[in-house]
Amino acid sequence: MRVSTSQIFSASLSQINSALYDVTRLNLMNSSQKKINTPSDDPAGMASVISLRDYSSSLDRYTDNCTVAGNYLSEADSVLSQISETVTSILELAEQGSTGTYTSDQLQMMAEEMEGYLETLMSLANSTFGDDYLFGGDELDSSAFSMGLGVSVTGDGLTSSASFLSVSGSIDSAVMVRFTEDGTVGTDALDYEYSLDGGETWTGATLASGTSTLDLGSCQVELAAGIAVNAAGDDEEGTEFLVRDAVYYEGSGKAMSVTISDGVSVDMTSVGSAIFGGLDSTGTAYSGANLFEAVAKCLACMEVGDADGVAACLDGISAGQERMLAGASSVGAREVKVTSFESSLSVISEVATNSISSLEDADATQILVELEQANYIYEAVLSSASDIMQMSLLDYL
Amino acid sequence: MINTIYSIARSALQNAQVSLANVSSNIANADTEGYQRTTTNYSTNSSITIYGLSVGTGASVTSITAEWDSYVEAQYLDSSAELNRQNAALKYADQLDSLWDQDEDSGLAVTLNAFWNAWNDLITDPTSSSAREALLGAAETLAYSLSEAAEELETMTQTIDTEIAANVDDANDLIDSIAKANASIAANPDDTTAISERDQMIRDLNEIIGVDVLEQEDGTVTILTEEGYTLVDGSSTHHLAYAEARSTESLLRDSSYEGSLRFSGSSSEEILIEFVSAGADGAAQYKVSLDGGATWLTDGNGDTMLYTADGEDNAVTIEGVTIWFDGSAGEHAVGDRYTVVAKSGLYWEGGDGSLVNITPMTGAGGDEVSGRTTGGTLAGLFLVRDDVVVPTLDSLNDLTETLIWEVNSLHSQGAGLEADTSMVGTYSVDDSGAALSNCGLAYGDRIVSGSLELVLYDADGAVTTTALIDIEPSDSLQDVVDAINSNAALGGGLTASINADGRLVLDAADGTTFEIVSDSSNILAALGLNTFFDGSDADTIAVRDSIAADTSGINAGALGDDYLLASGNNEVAAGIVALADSEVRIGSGSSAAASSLGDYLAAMVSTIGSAASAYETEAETASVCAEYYYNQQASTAEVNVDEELVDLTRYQQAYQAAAKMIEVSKEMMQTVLDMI
Repeated sequence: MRVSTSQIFSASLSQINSALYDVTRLNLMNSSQKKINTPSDDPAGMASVISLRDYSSSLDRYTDNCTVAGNYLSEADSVLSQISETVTSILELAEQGSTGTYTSDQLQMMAEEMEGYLETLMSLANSTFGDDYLFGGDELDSSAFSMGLGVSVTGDGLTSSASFLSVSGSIDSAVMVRFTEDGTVGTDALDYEYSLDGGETWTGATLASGTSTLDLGSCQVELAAGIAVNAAGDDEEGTEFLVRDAVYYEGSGKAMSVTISDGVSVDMTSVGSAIFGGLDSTGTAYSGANLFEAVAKCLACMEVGDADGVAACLDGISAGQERMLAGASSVGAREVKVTSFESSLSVISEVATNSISSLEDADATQILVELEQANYIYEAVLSSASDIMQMSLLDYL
Repeated sequence: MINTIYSIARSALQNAQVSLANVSSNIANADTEGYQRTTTNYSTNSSITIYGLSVGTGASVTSITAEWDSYVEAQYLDSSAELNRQNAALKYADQLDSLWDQDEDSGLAVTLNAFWNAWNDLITDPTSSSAREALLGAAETLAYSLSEAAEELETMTQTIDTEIAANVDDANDLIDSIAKANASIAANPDDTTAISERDQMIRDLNEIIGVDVLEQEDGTVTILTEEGYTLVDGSSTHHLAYAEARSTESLLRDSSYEGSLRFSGSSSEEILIEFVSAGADGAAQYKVSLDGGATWLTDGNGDTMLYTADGEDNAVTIEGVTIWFDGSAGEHAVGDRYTVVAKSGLYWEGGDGSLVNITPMTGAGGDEVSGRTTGGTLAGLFLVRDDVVVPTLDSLNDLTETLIWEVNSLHSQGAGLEADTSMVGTYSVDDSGAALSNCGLAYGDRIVSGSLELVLYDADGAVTTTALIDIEPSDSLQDVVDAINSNAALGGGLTASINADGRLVLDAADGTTFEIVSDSSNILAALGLNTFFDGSDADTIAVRDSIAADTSGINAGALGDDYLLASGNNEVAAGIVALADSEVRIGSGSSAAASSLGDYLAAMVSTIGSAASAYETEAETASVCAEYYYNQQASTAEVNVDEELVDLTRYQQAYQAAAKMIEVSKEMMQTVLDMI
């Protein structure tokens, strides 16, 4: 077959180019340590790699959320164990006070200790993680509980707390209030009296007709208009009630939830009213076992020296304690859930990383060997091409 | 007799000189591209009778022929056209390939994931201002990446268009030159230099658009495209034309339609419509094909999709092109056809001034439609533009459009850190009296029948009232404004109006603020109120100005049942992060898909990679073929300097021998003269 001169040169050139191309390609793979450097190297593989990276990224997001949720829940857990200790102390004190062997002065001193416990309880329930309140549901910025005033009915007559529209002002200790004549609130003028020292001395006052707010010195109680009241004496019949400290729940009814996996979310904070009870913003007590209300009632009874009242509160405090412990175990369960998801996420994440690596990474040893071979071939091509190019008949003529 | 010897020697000398000149010319042209080496052909002269004997009278050079195999050349032209087509496509496919590489540190997939990650940080800390600033940064980076990618694709499309125009000009120049060469060869059929120059020009033309060559008896050639359109015939020519978007019609004789088809928008597909029922505008229906009539578009059940021909108000959008008829009188007949080529294309100029569409077209199954250009650089450029670059840009726009919509429709139902005193929409309507689904809103067709719930607060942030506004897609923007302004519950606490740009404005009265509770009609996202992104495709995507200026406007949460925003509410953030994994509807028409945004992007990259890889493989195959035929032709036609040197030596000796003959005959003459 006839070969023209320019064919010799162009063939040499194309052979040099193709050997050089192999060298360059292997060099690129060697420096990036990847089999797939552009999508055209392995289109289906590249699509898988991108999808796996997206998946890996979403696993990282879930892991981050798990970490944050775990921190909040473990803080709540340790707060709840402190609360549990406080409640045990409260129960002991209440049991002591219920035996009836203490004088009212001694009961009032126990009341001061009880007041300290109630304040401790409230401040623990207002615990934060950083700036976020743990027991306010998804209201993170404002405290979950605050101290206010509430009412306990002690006599007959008014039975429903719907009779009391609002209580305002401040008190040093529980105030006993009783009506001294029968009538209808809002229509008749009614005489009533109140005691600031547990029933020793009484101050009289009159509720003018047409009004329904009782003035008790430093606090005021607004009654619903149209309710009937009866006179009360020392025999505890008739309309009689206590104005006392009460804890209000300021948070929201819904906990803050975070997604920790596909379709799975966990409540990062807790709704305080479901664990500790208290009063809602309208002054109504939360239904079911209500720890704060039971303790506040017990405190009020101690302040007025009513040992029987203290005994009646014991069941309420125990029930409240059980509900609080149930809340603590729910927090614990959530913590366990978060931890187990976190560990399974890390396993899956590692599997994903390995999959990406198997698709994308080049076998370093194989590349080095192929690179050596390509280099050798390139040198051989250069050498033979230069030999051919130099041969010419002119050398011999 | 001596004279005979003398003349034989003289002609031998001349022959040798001619041969030597030919050899020299070959040696000098050893590297000229397309040069066909020439050989001198000797033939013996007729004999004369002297002394009763037949004696030869020497030789003469009868012709100088070029060595050229026209059959190998035809094969070479075919494979060279294929090679150039693949190389032209590969050049741009390679660029796309490198630009769209996604590695773990950079690329669209990474910026998209960073965007989801930034929203995820807001889930655990919805009020954090540092998380909001970080989200703003991630969102702006994402918007920038998307618009950069779109711009690169648009620039690439323009570059391809420029290259196509330049190639068409080059082709037309070559066509003219070949015609001229034909004329001069017809006048002088033995001009081998002119012939080899013409053959080289044919090769050049073939690289641009694949051609077939027919040799005529008078030495001229007829050049046809591979599909049979004549480019050069003797000295008459037909040019190629590169023309802008146009529509053509072919109505039946008994069709009485007098109007014309109008269209706007662009598409990489050619849309062929054929009427299946007769009638005036508003009644007649037609079917649509994207591959020149081989298959017709079907709906989900497999029935042929029919569209109604109507005026501009009821224009039909197919593959991104809006089509309507502006007919006044007349009716269409069954079988009337229109072709809408909403892109620049390649045309062949027929002799009567008409343009025949020869733009390369790929059918539904990926094979080429017959009658359209398949070989040469032009075919490759059109194919890479219309099958790879423009569809990638369309997919990118679809992806961005869906991203904006999904994020906005979740975000618009949330609440920012502070209640608003006023809200202005980001999308404007062309006509506030037209139905919302058809008034120029990019997302107008996504409005459904539902209701919008708003809440008003007083100066202390307490809830004063809530209001429910019912929305229908057939409502106009003015209807919505009127419904808000006349709503009894709002009672003037919130007023709506349309500003000069055609955007909806909501203003709260003094001392009042408001928030969005929920929106089941999608109107907020469609009008751009309380949204996160602005824009509707990859060119226009941006973070809303109001959010870029003040990140407290980012809605991480939504209002609770008490119509207030709890500081830990993260519903909107959680919903947006869930978008990363959820399937959404992306695109419309024949390119609609249901997939997650990340998977759609992965599929786009994979398509680009497959196209580049396919062109590369086909280019390699074509290159092997073309090289083989080139070498075959080269081994026949190209100069081998060593061979010419041998010939040089040979003819030099022949010259010396002829010179010797003259010397001998001179001596013979001298001898005779000496005898006298």
